[in-house]
Amino acid sequence: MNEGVLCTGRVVARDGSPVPHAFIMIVDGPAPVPEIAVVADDDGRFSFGLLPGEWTVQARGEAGAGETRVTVRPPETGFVIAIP
Amino acid sequence: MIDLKSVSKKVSHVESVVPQEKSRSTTGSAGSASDEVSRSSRLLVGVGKSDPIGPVGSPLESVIGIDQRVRILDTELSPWRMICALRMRAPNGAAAIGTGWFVGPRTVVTAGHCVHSTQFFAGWADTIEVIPGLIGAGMRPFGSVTSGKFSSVDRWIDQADPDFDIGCIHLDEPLGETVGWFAIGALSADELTGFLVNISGYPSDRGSGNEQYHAVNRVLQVSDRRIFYDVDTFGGQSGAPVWTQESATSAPLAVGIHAYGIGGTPGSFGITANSAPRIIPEVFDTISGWIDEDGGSPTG
Repeated sequence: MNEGVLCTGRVVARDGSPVPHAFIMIVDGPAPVPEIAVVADDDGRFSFGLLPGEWTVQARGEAGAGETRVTVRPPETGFVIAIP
Repeated sequence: MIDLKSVSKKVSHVESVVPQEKSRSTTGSAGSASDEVSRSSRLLVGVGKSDPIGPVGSPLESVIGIDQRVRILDTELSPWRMICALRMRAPNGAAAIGTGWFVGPRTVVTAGHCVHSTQFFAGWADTIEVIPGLIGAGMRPFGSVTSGKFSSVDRWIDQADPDFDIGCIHLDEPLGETVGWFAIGALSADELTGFLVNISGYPSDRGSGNEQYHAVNRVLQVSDRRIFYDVDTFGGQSGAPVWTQESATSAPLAVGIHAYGIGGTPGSFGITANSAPRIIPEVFDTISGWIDEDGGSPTG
């Protein structure tokens, strides 16, 4: 996979507060997905590249897991994953 | 056959690799640490060829059907201690976790995207901490080492082709002498078909990348450069060894490098499977070259 569209995201808890150091996995999409787990920063933020299309991105923190369906479009896509 | 060129982070020259036709294998080592036989290995490791194990479902992720992963609690023993939790950090500030495994005293093999990823790291990783046999959070029976010396192959670096998603971490310390290392084998498609393959690594969904989980099932399909199987894995297990074992008493033989969940399997195959680049003769030679760069292995 090439670098693709820059995707920036944030993992938040039910109350909207950031979830630091959550794991983010790309679990479904239109291209092969490496089984790596990205680690969010202290503020729950992360970024990576994805090809345009529909992707499912999952986040896991100490409180549980949440996932979101993202439509990736150039030049940049932003999204939030809530852990309920 | 394609000539793979080894590409190193800090070495500008590339080495041509001469393709080989014959299947070969290296010699592994159990290491100098305890030679106690692992109870987990005796009970869990799949040996030889078999019909499929357990139910197969229709999943969304790379846990296929019922999750068959089992936590390994004696990771201080062989072969589990040869498997390492990886903590990657990139120059752009990105961080990620993965899995690697020793193939020599100073050489750890992993997925190419764990050492170089335009997608996640905007290039080469900066540093990777290698933690052999991590048992749980903060429980490191063999400590850890951090390296900034990595290699991959040109087809991964230039094209991010999943068939060539292989990488290597070069260590200054010969930690493999203590924990041991896997033998690698370039087996033919006929030899691989129907074999039980074992995968063990550090997933993010169980134990937050601090616990090692193993699963086993049958090879479903073999392509020119990949092995497809319904062995359960999850994000964080990228780079884990895919190994076979002829019998309960034989040594593990790594035949692939786990890298992709079900999204990496071509729809035309008509199967739900996770996959690994195969250790074909060119890959065998490339990995052997990496081991030699690090000083070789006494028994390899």
